[in-house]
This record gives sequence, structure tokens and C-alpha cells, in this order.
Amino acid sequence: MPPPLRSRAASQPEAPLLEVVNLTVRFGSPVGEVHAVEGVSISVGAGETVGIIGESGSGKTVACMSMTWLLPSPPARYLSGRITFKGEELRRNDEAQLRKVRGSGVGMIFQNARLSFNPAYRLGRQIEEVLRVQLGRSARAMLPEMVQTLRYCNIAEPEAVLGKFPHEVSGGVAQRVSIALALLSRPDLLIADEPTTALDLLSQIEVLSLLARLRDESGLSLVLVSHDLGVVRRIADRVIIMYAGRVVEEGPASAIFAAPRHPYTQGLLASALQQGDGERLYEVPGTPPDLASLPPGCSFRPRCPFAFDRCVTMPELAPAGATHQARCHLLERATEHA
Amino acid sequence: MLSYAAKRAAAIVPTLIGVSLVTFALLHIVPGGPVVAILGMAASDPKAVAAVTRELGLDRSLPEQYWIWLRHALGGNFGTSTEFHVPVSTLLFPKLAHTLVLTAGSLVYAVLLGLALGIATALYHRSLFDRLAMLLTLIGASAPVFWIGLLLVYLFAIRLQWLPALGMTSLIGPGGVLEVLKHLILPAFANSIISLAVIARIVRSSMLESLVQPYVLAARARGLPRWRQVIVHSFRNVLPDAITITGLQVGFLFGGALFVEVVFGWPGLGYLIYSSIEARDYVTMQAAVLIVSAVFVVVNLAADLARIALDPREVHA
Amino acid sequence: MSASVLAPAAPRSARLQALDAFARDRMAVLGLAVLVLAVLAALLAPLLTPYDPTIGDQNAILVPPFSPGHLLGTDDQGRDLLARILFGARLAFPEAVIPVLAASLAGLALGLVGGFSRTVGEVVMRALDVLFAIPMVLLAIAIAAALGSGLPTVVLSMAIVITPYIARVVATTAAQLRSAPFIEAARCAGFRDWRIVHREILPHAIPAVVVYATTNMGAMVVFAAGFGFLGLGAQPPAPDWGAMIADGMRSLASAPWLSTVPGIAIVVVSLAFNYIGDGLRVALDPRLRSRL
Repeated sequence: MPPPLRSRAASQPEAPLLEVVNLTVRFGSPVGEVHAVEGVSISVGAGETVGIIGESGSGKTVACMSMTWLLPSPPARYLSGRITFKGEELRRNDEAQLRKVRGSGVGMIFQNARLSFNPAYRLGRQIEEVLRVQLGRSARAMLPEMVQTLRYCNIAEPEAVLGKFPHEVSGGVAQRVSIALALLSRPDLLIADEPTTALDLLSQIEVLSLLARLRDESGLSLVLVSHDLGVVRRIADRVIIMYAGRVVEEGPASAIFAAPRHPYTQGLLASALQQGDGERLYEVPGTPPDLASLPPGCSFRPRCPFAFDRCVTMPELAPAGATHQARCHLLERATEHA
Repeated sequence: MLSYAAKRAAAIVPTLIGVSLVTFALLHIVPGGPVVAILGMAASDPKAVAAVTRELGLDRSLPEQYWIWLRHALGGNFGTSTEFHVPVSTLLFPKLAHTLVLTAGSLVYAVLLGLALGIATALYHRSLFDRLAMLLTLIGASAPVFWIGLLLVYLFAIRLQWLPALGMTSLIGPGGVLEVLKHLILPAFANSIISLAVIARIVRSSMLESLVQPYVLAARARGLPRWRQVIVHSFRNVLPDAITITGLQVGFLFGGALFVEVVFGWPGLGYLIYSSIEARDYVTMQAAVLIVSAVFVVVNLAADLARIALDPREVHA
Repeated sequence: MSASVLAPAAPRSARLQALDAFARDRMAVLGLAVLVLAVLAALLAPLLTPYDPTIGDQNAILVPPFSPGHLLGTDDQGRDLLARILFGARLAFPEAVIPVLAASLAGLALGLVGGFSRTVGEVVMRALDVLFAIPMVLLAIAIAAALGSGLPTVVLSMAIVITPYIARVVATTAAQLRSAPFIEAARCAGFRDWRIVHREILPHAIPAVVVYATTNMGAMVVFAAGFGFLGLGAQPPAPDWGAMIADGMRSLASAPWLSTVPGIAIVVVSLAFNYIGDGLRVALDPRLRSRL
């Protein structure tokens, strides 16, 4: 029995559910300022599933966490950025507004679900706490709904799991409990940061099919962050590729996977093909960039097989089709030659 | 959990036996041996020497002497004070109550102020407030407790005349509880300073670690207010550390009470030990050490059990 | 964040890195400087003051601080406080350092046995546990009182009560190493236990003891002053800092500097030790560096 989730909203393409414009986040570090996210803009439509792909250090996690100004500052330094959720601007210092959005508007699940629960409390108590603060309802009144939602998330014995400590359940169970917890607050958007990375293969499949089911049945918008192309390919409507803190390519999943325009995306897809499906870590030749001292021009230039003279300047994100964009000078050359 | 508690509780028996052995040995390291220690000046009187030798079996083997001494002690007979010529037990127990009040008062200061300071400095890490608080706690922890006591006496009792420095006589005096509390404010604070500093520093460093744990970020992402992130989630996981260190501090507070009682004329075991040292009243000193140590052992057991009860990972480990 | 962000520019020896970290800790360096000055002042005391610390000037009784000729004032017998502080340092340093040195040797021996050998070790550690069960200060004072007052007694009783703490540090290190692969390897190679302890464990245990002893040296200065305060330390008219505070107690209202000045001396030396200890601990444990 599925929980009473809202039906797929009639999406208005002009007004996205969540919009991030020109976000720049940096961190101080002993070796210099780390440019984690540089001028990133992301929009998520109602009911849409957006996949964000990048290797570690690409800024994808920081970008996602910043969607509700989640990372504490300091250490994070927000240099620019405007975030709108359901038409309302999220003000970075307005704790009351942010708390409401974080609690009930935007749910978030983390890479290591067990660590996202406090080791000192039973899972049930932690769920109750959130719901009590969010919805102001007593534990007893919420129990049936909690059990129902956990069951929807494929937790076989919800009552038993509620009585357990985080260290007593598997990573897969913990991840599904954290999804259930997010769902209980009836969010409009669920942000999942590498939700399957820390899991064993079987749990990965379970969590992924749960997310796919949510997408199909609930009308929830979903942001799925991953370095795993296979995961994103399975459920994303639209894909964003990030490299060194910037969006380098963005477009419908079908277009990106069929005809990638950025050399980095092409590299990712090629190595994915080479290694087959059994291997989950796709590698592009070369070393990831040092975010504390990026080279001038295109950040991918040192690893790019097609680098040419123009790459010493940073390319803009340019159209590569009707709804497809890429940040590469090769696009200009292609249009010039045409 | 319960079986662990039982095991842990049972483990204090050998510890207490060890403590009694050490305490027993105290009289034997007095130059001249236990006879001199027990009789003091009267050790020149052969009749008295013969009597005490017979009573305590001082002519028998050491294990037998220990056994006789232990049986007496367990029966509440700690011998006779050479200074006051009364059974030590009649001196001891009223003083013990005073020392417990002083220690408890110090503990309240140390825990409340230590926790508050530790949490606040962790929240404002590297701020001016943090630096200043850390400097002050380090100075506090580097100063002799009796010196801090004297400074407080000078400032608050002599200069400002806000609080009494001396004159604490009995818990059940005419002034009642209020009078006792008034006399308690300064000595308890003086005695708490080092423990306060230690607790603040441990809590600060544990909080700094705990505040950046994923579950605190997750609590924030789930829309919990800041105080819940800090207290319910972050501090909750610092609590076992805080309790462990607090349990250890009780021993230091007992030790500190010895000096603070001297400075403030607080009529507790510490003052009793001080006067018995001055009067070479070893029997009284021995009994006081035994009692304080026994209380300390029990308090540590309680702290240990509380810590275990608060850390679910320990129970299942 | 990529690994290259955090990797050091070039690998250096751990010892150099620790030295560098210590040198960058301004408070630790300041502490070291203060300590060096204090030790020099103690050594050169007769050159630094014209006064005898034990003989008073009947014409200069209870002179307040900052008076001409008596920078820190005089006590109720007309003795110059600066002279007593300087000469008192000659008591204070040995009183703190000798017990720690003695306890370090005893603690190393007991701790190595306790941590390395399973059977004898258990007995040793249980016996030491008993000493933890008695409040340290109380036990030390009781021992000193029973043995009779004086400097050697204080040193001995302090050494006795510190030993279990150092033994525990050593035993923990030894127990951790007991099952380390390189110890297993040494054992497989047929080395005898004492050789393993000497060659493999001791080099790890000694730094642990040095750090522990340094971080606690400040507390030892305060600890030693406590004996003086109770009249158990060096006997009058020796300028024992703790005893000076106790003497000043009698005239606290009229001459507060008598107790204040030696207290400040104790705090300065103890604080210097504490900053050095902190700096050393952090320098040798990179994980702590971000926390301070």
C-alpha cells in the first residue's frame, strides 16, 4: 500500500520548482582557497528527475548541499548565488524559512545513510523527532503512517527497525529508512547525494528501484548525484555533468548518452563502455584537477585529447542543440566550420 | 548491560581491598613503626605500648595485623585519635558530610560552567571569545587551588565583603540551608576551577569533533533547529566523554578540598587531615584517607555505569 | 576534494615536521622562552639579587611591592620577596622534575612488563589500578605525612603516585604494539622477549612518556607547591613557593602581596610548561593540529 503521496503535478516548464542561479562556493584550506563550485546554475522542474554526474571533487555534492544553503559558513564561503524554491527566494540568513524548506520542502538523503543517523538514538526516535518538530504531531499519532511509509520503502519489519540503533541495521536498510523519513515530511523535492555508493550490490539495486518507483508514482522532483553513469542513466530525465566546480554539459538524458558533446563526457562514456557494467568506477585518463590552483582557461584542458589554442580561455556554456548545452570551444569550431 | 554492570560492580571489591592494603601500610611507613604512629607521645610508656600491641596484634605477622585492622575498620572502629583522644569514627563521619557538600558544590560549578563553556567555545571556535576562554581556563588549570582560594577570599570577602570567607561551622547551624550555601559559594568555586577548566577543554574538543559529524549535517538537512543540532545531536554524543572526565574529576575535587578547606576553614575531612598532619595524628589521617578513597571508588563506579548506559554502542560491543 | 589538494609539497621526516609544527605554535615557543629564562634566573639567583632569601631586614618589614630596593616587596620578617622567589625556583624546579624523572623510569619498567607480558603484566596492572582508586593528591600527602616532612619525602611520595600514570601510558603503547606485525615478525625470527622490548617497543614507549611527562609538568609544579602549602615540603626558612603562600595567608588583609607574588610565580612556570606540553602534543599528533 503506497503512502498518500501527491499525484504528479502538472509541470509548468517556465517556472521551475527549484532554481539555482550563478552559485559560487569556496572553502579555505591550508594550501589555498578551494574553488568547489564556480558559477553553477541548475534548475529542477516539478516532477523532473535531474542527474548530476562528476568525479569526486567536481563540486556536485557541494552544489547539491547548497541548494538549501545547507553547508555551514564558515568553513563554506558563498560568494554568489540566488536560489528560488517554489517561486520564493531562499535567503541565506533566514533560518526560519530555511528550516521550513529543509524540513518539508526539500528532503535530502546522504551517501552514508547510517552515518546520517545519530548513533546514540534508536531510529524510531529520530524519525519521531523530525516529524514532531516538522508537523507538531505526537509519536503515537504518527506511528501508523511511519510504519506504512517504511513498508512502502521495502522495510519488511518496520516496527522492529524503528526500535533499532543505526549501527544495528545494514547500510541498505538505513538508506531506505532515511528515504522514508524524507518522504514522511512530504517534500516536493528529494536530493539524493550518491545514495547507492556506500552500499553492496543488492542494496544498490533495491534503493535504486525504490527511487525509480518514487519518480514514477509520486510526482516528486528528484536530484540524483552520482559518479556512476549507470545509476543516472536508469532514472534521470535530464543530466548535468560537472567538472572542477563547473557545469560542463547539460541536456536530456537521451541526448547526453547518445551524443555527448563535451570531451569529458565522451571520455566518461567511453571508459564506461570499455569497462562494461560490472565495473562501477569509470575513469577518464589523467589526474583530477587541483581545486586550490586551477589552470587558467578550460579546467579540463590538461586532460583533454582535443585541446587547442583557444582552450587557454574559459569557454562559456553554449547551446549544442535545442535543450542541450556544453562548455567547450569545439562547439564554436563546429558551428564555424558548418 | 546488566551483567556488565554486575561485573563492573564486583570488580570494585579487589580494588577496595587494595585500597585498604595501601592505607594499612601508611602506619607502617611512619618512622618508628605503627606503635609510634598510634601512640604518639605515649609511645614512651611501656604499659601503653603493651596494651596497643596486644589489641592490634602488632607482635604478630603482617597479614594477621592487616586482618585485625580490617576487621576493626569494617566494624567502624578506626582507632583512637592521638590528638583528640576520642574514637576516630566520631570525628570522621560529621566531617565526611561537610566534605561531600563541598565536593558536590564544586562538582555543580565544574559541570555546569564546564559544559557551558565547552559547548560555547566549540560553537564559536577560533573567535576572540574562544581564545580568551581557553587562555583563562589554562591559567585556571595552571594555578594552585589554594592560591585561587586566597585570591577569592581577598577579593570577595576582604575587599568587597560580599561573601563570608570563614565561619562555616556546621551543616545544621542556626542559619539553615541558606547560610550553608552562602558559605559554600566561594570555596566550592575555588575548588572547581581546575576541574571546570578540564571539563571545558575536553567538551570543547569533543564538540568540535561531534559538530562536523554527518548526522549533525543530516539533522540540519531535516529542518531541525540549531539548538537541537547542537544539544540533542552533537552534545548527546559528547556526553559519555563528559561523564568519564567528570568521574575522574571527583578524585581531584576530593584532593582539592583538602587545600580549600584549609584556606576557608571548612570543617571537613580535608581540614581534619591537615590538622592531623600538623599534630602527627596518623590514625586519624589513615582513616580519613580510607574513607575518602572508598567514596571515590564508588563515585567512579557510578560514573562508569552512567557512561555505559548512555552509549548504546558500548552495550552491544 | 582531490587528494592532491591536501598532500604536502614534499615528503619530510616526521621529526622535522613535528619540530616545524612546534616552532609555528607561538604560545609553545613563548612558553619555552619563559621557561628558559626562569631556569636561568634560578641558576643565576645570587647574581640577580643582593639579598639573602632567608635573612630579613628588621628595618624593612612588610614593604609593599614596587618600592625602591624591593621590587616585589618584603615579608613580615623583612625578607626580600624577589630574592625568595628567585631562590625558591631552585627548589620548585627540582621538586617538579625529579619525581617525574624517577616515575618515568619506574613507569617504563612497570609499564613494559605490564603491557608486554600477559600473565605478570595482569598482576602488575591490577596492582597499579589500586593506586588510581585513591585520589592522587591525597595519597601523596598521606605518604609524605607518614614519612615525615622534607624535600626528599616530597620527591619520593610524588614519584610514587605519578608512577602508575606513566606505567599506564607505557603499557597502553606496549599492548598496542604486542600484536603489531613487526613484533610478530621479530618473534618469528626467534628474538627473545627482552630483545623485542628493548629494540622494538622501547623506542615507541619513550616518546609517549616524554609527551605525557611534559604535558603534566605544569601540574607537577602546582602539586609540589601543595606540599609546601601544607608544611610538608622544604622546611622554614627555605623559600618554598607553596609555603610562602601559606605564610602570607596570615596577613592576607594587610599584605595581600605575600601570597599573591609566589602564586604568580607558580602560575607563570606552570603555564609555560602547559603551553610547551600542548605544543608538543599537537606537534607530535597531526590529527590534533586542526582542533586548536
